Amino acid sequence: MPQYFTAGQVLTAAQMNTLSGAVDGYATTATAAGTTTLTFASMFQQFFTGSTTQTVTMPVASTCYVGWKIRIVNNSSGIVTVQSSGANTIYAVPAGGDVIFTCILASGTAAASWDYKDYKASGSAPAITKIQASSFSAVANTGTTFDGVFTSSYKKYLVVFNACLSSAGVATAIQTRVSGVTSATGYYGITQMIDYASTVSYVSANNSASLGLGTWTTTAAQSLFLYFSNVGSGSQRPVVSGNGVLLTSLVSIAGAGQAEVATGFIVTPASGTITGTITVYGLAD
Amino acid sequence: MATKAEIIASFKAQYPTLKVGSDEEGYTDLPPTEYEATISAWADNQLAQEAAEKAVTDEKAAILAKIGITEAELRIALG
Repeated sequence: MPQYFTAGQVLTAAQMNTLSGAVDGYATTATAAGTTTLTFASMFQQFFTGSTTQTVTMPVASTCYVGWKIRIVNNSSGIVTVQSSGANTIYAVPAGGDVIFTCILASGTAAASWDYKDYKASGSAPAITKIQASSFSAVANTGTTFDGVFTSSYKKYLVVFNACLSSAGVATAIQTRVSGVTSATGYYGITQMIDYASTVSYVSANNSASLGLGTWTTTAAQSLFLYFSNVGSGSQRPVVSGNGVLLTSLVSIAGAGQAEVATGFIVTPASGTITGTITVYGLAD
Repeated sequence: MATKAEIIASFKAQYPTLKVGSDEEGYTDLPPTEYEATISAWADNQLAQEAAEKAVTDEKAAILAKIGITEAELRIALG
């Protein structure tokens, strides 16, 4: 709770330490896809390092005073999602973000009790920001790895697949994820492959369970560049387009999903496992 | 063509466990129900792929039979 002092009062060491922390103290947290819970007495500056995501829960607003501030510096390569005490997202701090959150209502548990300003995003916002880079080896699918990469922070995303392979040399497919649940219907689109002998093949999606990414070979030489839009906020039909190389073939992909707030994606082979690296970038308007 | 049960047995022998995760967050094995569902889906995918390939082969053979030439002769005719 806020603490007020009277003129002439002698402060204790603990009180001085709290004041010092509130002014210029800092704490560092390694992101671990976990949750950091802040309190009124937390250090003013909260630095996050590492290579994955983290959720930060703000103090219960009623324990703060209007104007109470905390600084979140995201030095990790993942997203740091800042939520109110009621688990409502206030702002998803992108990698490199430097944001000050201010209590504007000393009651309630929703995001409305908080304001924020991203000082990194203002003025000199980069045109492209790395949100997450993850490598996976011999997995049945990419599981929850790319959950939460699409947020309201960006309207468009570039997803780069590098050195990918399929252990069985089979077709792979992508599906969107909504708050951790895979969307398995309503995909429309086309995937076209042209091999080095000019043989053309297609995989179409017509209200299908997924959108094809082409047949990945067993050599780590699949490289794709996919652009996503209509994801991260508002119920919209996610749109994806792009192209790439499947060892010695050209692949072009275009498609759309059902109306939803897509917050991530999952990649799955028709059989066997997949290996590779996928990097997600947010693109500024 | 192998039956679904045979394909499942083959996949299980080749992949006794399946994992998800990443280098950054670590890996975990799929729980038994998810493992079974994944292997079953793989078998379905393989059967569907084989059926699609057989349909194309059968259709091609039917056309060649109808016009009374071999595939080699067709290739020569098409240059």
